[in-house]
Amino acid sequence: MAREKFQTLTEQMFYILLCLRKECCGVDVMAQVSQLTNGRVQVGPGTLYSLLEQFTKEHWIRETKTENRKKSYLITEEGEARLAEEYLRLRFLIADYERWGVAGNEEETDGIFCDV
Amino acid sequence: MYDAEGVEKHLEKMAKKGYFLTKVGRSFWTYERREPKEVRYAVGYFPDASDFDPGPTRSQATYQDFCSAAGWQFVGQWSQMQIFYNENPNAVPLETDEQTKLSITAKAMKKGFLPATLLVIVCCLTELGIGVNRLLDDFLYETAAYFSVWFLFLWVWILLLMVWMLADYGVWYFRSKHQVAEGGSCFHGGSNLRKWVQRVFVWVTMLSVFTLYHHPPFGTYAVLLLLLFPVMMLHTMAIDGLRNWMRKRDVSRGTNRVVTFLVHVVTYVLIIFLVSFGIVQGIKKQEEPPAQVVTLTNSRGQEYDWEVYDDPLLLTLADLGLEEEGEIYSSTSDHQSSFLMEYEKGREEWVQSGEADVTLIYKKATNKMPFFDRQCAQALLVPYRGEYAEIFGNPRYVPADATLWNADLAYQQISETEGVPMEQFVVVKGKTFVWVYFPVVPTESQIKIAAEKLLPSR
Repeated sequence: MAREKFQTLTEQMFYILLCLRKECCGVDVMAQVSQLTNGRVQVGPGTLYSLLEQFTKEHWIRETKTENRKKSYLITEEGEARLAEEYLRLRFLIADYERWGVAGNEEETDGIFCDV
Repeated sequence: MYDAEGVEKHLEKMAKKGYFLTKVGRSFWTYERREPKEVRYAVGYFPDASDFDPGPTRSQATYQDFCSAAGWQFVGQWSQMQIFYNENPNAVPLETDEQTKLSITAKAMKKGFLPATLLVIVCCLTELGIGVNRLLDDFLYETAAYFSVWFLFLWVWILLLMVWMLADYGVWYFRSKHQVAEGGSCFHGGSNLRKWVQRVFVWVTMLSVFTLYHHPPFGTYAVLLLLLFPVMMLHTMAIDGLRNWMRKRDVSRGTNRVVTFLVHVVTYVLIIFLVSFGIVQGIKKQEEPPAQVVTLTNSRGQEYDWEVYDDPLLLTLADLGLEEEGEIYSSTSDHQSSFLMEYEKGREEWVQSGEADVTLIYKKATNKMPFFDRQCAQALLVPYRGEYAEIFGNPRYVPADATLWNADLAYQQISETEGVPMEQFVVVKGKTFVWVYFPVVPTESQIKIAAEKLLPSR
């Protein structure tokens, strides 16, 4: 189940992990994601809570400290690897997009894709 | 429980009318009247929440902190259901990821709604089982007594609602799962239908309680039953109060749960006991006192008090020419009627020397249902089931001359060993089913009189 869920990261997951590359308090993640994306991506509090719990269980992030019920988190190496994997995937997407979109390059990708 | 959207919409509508939710109880939600305003409500699920916690657990407090950081003020909780309030119309919703929303809802339902519903279903099935068993034991009485029929209906009715709720949740869950897997959102809609189903359920149940009042033999029970509703409500409120009182005293979740449960069960049993006691007392009061009490001495010289009744009968010993002048006779009868069945029992005894020497008994049932004729005849031909059959033994019947009775079918009892014709008869005429136990093997003319008195004319 978990594996299936995390095959590709959703935008919200991606940005939460990104935020946690710097130690950050859980509550502040919502505001940071919003700030980071100029309000394009919003994380709801319920979703954030569930995702932080899941990420901790998967060891992608770890709790660093608890100050009167405010928990802070930091990304782990595993989390970094996951983030890097996603970065690579996105790079491939971008590269493919650029290659495909430029006129005159279409013939390179005949064969299976042409019927689509 | 699972209809978050329905609850949100309802609360927003109430706020528009000026009613703001302030307290979420188990049975009652408290509102406060304020200036009407367009605000937003959100229902979230926190699977680890419990109504027995002294306060929010650490993790739940963190969850609520997250929500309040996003502008959502916690209003109250109903088991796993968490209700929040926000004045900002553009607030970020609690859940922004449909997959997370679906799995968190499903997890909460698995903890609260599903086991609770299944428990009610098990209770309904048990009650139905008991009811059906009673029905098989005494088919004619149980179908004719409106109270029994009503109880059977009630259990089936609750069972139907529970099954519907399960199915409704199932539809929501599987549709949402499908839609989310395809990148869509959780399934919306169905709230209107849900509202209607709830309304129909409440109304039909209330109306059915009122119909009890119109069935005379049970009039007093109906009053008791109507009283039962407020009593049950008070009971629930008292239990709620106890639970909250313990929460305020920081009693742990486990202890609170056990104590609340025990108190609930004990007081519930007590109420049921008191109500049954009331019903029994009611019956005693309703029963007419005997016309007279005579003291008789039996052959062994012992003295007996014999209660002599004087109920009207369809067929009497006098009708059959079996009454001796100057003797004491006691007659009792019972009449039950529902929309399914009409049932009358009568018994006349010649009271002599402390024992009933001559006895006439009859049962007459009129089946108002288009079916179940076979069961009616069966109920008279084979009156005992299971261990009763072993103790009393069912009489043996053979077909007899129905023309004497001017009926469709007639059966006469024969003795177990020699096959000699005996005193019991079962007769069927159209939808009428009659059993008679004559004090002697009847003559043709006595049979004709019995037929005239007990069977309908064509």
